[in-house]
Amino acid sequence: MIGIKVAGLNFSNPFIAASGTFGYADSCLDFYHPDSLGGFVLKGISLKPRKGNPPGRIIETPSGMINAIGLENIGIEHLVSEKIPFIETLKSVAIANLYGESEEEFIELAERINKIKRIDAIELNISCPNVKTGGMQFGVSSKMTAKLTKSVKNVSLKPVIVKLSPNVTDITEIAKAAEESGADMVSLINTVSAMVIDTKKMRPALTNRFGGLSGPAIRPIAVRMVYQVYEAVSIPIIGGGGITSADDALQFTMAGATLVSIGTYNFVSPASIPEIIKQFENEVKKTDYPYSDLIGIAHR
Amino acid sequence: MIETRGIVVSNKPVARAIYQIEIETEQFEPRKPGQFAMIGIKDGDFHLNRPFSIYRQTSNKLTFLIQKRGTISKRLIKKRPGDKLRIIGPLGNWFTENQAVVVAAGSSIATFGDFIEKDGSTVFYAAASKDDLININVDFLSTMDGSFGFRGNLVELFKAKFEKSDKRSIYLAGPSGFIKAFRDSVDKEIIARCYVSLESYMGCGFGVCQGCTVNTKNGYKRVCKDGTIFRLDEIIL
Repeated sequence: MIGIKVAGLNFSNPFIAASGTFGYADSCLDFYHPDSLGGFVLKGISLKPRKGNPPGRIIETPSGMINAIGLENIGIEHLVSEKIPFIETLKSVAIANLYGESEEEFIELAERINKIKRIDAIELNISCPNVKTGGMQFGVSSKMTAKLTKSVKNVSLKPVIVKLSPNVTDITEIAKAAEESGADMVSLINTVSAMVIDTKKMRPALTNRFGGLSGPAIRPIAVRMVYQVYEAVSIPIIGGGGITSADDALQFTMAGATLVSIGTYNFVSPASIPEIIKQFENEVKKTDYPYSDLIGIAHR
Repeated sequence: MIETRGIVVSNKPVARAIYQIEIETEQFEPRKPGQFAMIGIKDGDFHLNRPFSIYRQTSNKLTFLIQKRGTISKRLIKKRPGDKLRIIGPLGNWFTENQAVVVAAGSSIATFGDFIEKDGSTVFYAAASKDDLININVDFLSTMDGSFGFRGNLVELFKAKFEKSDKRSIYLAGPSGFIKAFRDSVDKEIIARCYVSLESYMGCGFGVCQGCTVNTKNGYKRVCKDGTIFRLDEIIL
């Protein structure tokens, strides 16, 4: 097993489940135990429950899917009362994904999370393309990313991960802003803003019109962005976008990701994920390099 | 519920655009009436799995009715014995009574595999024309063009033949157009006894992606996990 310490947290392997594809760590139980993963990011959580966008939320696209769920979630109070007791029984690194509509809300969420012992780190969702306020509004501006990251870092007792949007002109600028403001890690990429038009109905296929594209379709974009961000910052990177195999994951490692995240594939073949991790470890062994040397090796 | 490998045993047309596909899995929990499975094709490229009612089950052998419709169903109907598929299931809630009045439009009859040709149940079934009907014995049957059975749609058939003194639960399955038409033209007292198995575009099928939600009087619900079966008077179509 490739154990790795990142931002003071011990990951039993470099694989984490991406936010919004793993529920509250209880969705995979019929397929595998969450402790098979190095860590997991919980579904994005807000102060109050959110009902999300109207139905007509997803559609398959070539080698991927577009979603516009709109951050439907149970809210922080229900997370604490209903979900944390189970998460307390797990060993993997537990990361909460926070979504606020304003800086104040992010700060309040971070303060609430401070009190939850079993949450090991927080991920700031400044990159969701499917909500009207907050989300990507922060993540497309270096200035706002810096301000928000600094404010949250001031109050948070946990390592802070900033989840970056690919829907920007230069992702390295946003990554640098996060690093300079004290972020402990960056995670990339969130989904790519996209749409499908239903030509029979002559209108957008999704009720929200736009959604976030994920799956193998975005993998080459994500690998490129991880590669660029690796050159721009020195904090560790969580890399992901369309990973469905050990070889896919290894591309992210070699581009510069210390940890890799699996997202959409959790919907398609959850039972194969422990097998992907095993294969990844075999692939790493075959290279004759220690894992730490493989991170960013493609930059030689 | 598990994710398992399925191997196609047989695949044959049973109506104009409906194929009956038999799949052998490694192991499979007995499904309850009305439950479904996600079927995934593993031909190298990436696709989401698709939901299908489990029409029949004998231990590890599952039978589905596949209507030729979109990209995946068109590929599924071409599968040959020995081809491998991904199966996740059984999924969703189920019909709690085994004696009921069932009302099915087209290939949605697959939802009611356990009620067809069973004592104590009454089956209403309709399709566009004779060539679209699968060969089963039902109590009441209609075709839109009148080529077989009662001439008219399923709502008309139900209204003509259903006896109001019948106090059993009524189970419905079919496209949303049919469900809406049924709800809007049948007495409230009857609607209160109706349960509907909804169809939806699904991402995962087991409740995590939140993509398949339907609007109900109690807020958004996941068709795959909170359903697929809902009280007809609860859903907002």
